[in-house]
Amino acid sequence: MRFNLLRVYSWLMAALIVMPIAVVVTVSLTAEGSVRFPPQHWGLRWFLEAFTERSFVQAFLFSVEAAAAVAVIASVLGLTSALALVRYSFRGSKFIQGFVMAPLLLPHLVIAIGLLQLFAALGITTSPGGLIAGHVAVVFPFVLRLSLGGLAGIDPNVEKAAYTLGATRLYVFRRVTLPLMASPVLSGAVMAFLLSFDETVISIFTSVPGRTTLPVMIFNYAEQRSDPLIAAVSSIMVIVAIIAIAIADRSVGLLNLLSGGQVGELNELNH
Amino acid sequence: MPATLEANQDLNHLQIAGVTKTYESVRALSNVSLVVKRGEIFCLLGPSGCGKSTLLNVIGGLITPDSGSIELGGRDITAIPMQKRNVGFVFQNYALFVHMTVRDNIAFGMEVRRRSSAEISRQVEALLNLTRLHGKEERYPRQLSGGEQQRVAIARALATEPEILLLDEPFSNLDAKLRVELRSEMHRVQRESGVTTIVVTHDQEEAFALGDRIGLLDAGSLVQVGTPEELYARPQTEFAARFVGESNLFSGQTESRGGTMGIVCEGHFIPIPGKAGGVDERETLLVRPERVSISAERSASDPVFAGTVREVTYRGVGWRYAVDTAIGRLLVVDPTARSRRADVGGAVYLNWKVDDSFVLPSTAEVRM
Repeated sequence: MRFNLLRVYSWLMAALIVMPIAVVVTVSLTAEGSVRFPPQHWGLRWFLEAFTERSFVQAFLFSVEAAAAVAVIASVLGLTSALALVRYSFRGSKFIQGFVMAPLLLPHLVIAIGLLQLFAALGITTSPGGLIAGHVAVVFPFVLRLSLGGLAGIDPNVEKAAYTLGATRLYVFRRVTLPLMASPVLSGAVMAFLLSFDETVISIFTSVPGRTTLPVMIFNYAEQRSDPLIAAVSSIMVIVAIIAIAIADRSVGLLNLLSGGQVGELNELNH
Repeated sequence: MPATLEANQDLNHLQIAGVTKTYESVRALSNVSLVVKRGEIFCLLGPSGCGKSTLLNVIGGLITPDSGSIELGGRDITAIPMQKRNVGFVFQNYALFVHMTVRDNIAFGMEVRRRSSAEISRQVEALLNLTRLHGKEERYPRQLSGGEQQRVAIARALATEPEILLLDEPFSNLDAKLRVELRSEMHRVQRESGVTTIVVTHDQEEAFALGDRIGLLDAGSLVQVGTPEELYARPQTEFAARFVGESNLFSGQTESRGGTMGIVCEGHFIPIPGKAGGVDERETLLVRPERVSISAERSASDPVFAGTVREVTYRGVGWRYAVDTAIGRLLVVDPTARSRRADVGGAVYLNWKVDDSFVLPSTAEVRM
């Protein structure tokens, strides 16, 4: 009895999460000219429309570009910071560890306004670098967490063993530490990509004219019009996210890692 | 040590002099000096926390001592980092590279040294042979049993032809039966490679089975160095007597009675062997349990003590008795008997030959 209640509850919670997405995807599959749920006639008309709408395509490409840059930068920063925090515990390393987690707690709006004023003061108002920097700031805690977890899973004796065999620091990093960190770092990169691809608030404040991300584009469009084009573009975003997660899960076990599973399953990767 | 050995400097492969290491007011190593000979297996034995692992790490360069010096093959290596010491280190948990195959694990040290690939393959082959890992070279560590992982760790450490092989509790992660097997396997590998080897262990049986010589550590100090026979028959301190094997120890003031020297323990006179020393000195006498005979009848020769059996344990190889006597509880091991000589509660007489007992050197009193 209790078991069944738990099951019903679980399905309800899952439905609550999936329902809005399902509605959007359903609406996007309409052949009509206005939003109606459920649609009377089905078709891919609005998807074709989305792909021919130049501004959307440009925004999509810029979003992918920015998210890729954010993923690379955040991963490198996350890995190197984790190494510094774990391998060389220095004065205040605990404080810094707490400090870099702050973006997790702060409303993005606060960060966005801060960044806007900072960039204005620095005179960088026309470069997409500001947007990327902003994104890196908010995704960094996630990436760092994964790297710290991965590093904690590496037996320090393994690195010492490499040293006793004559390897230099750089050699040990390249041949031992980095391969053992591949799984958490790649997972972090995918996380960073998705969070950046999805980020709206920071992007609204830091977008420069002509270089707008897809979420900002959707936001602006939805303010003025409400045709199914928005739903189609949103569906494309969902599909991109699903594909990214599927690839990451296949190759490095992202879902396992995020749900607290064992780190170090990367051995599977080598086969 | 014969003079001929002392004369040959090369035989003293590793020389440790006055090594001290302190951790936040805890003395992990206290003025340890030690010589390890070329080609021998030297066991560092002691209870947990005695500093044996710390000493091994100091030799390997993983821990820097506060003071003292280490000389390996005539070269002072005290200030040389672990990367440049050319030691083979086998960690307690093996610390294999889980993302590499057995072959790549073994080849690692040679690749660091940029050996030619032909030379690397040849050496890997030789080590696979030596450690009997043939057919496993393309496996990953997690696909191997605990014993195989240990052999990979040893092969990896030997690949660079190290000056010295250091093993930290190499058998502690294995079950009892496998432990004994791998022990003799390791002994064979060491004899074939001829590498000077230091093994850290808390297990006296392991130290006896492997060690040409044993260094016994207690609370950061080297208590005694010697062959297993020396350690067992002539322990220098009470700690050594208690830690190595089972023991019956009696302390008391020396006295001479009817021309026989002995100690008085709990009001009873126990004769002691050897030349007569001074009277009224405190001495400790050791009698190993298997040197004590147990019987229902009183034997003619001294010393004899009457007692009551409190415990009888069947050992497979004979019986072990705990017997309460006027001079305290004594352990008796009777390995050759075909049947038990007494039951719990039985009245027995214990007797031993005076020459089978051993007076601990008086320094024993310093460390109680």
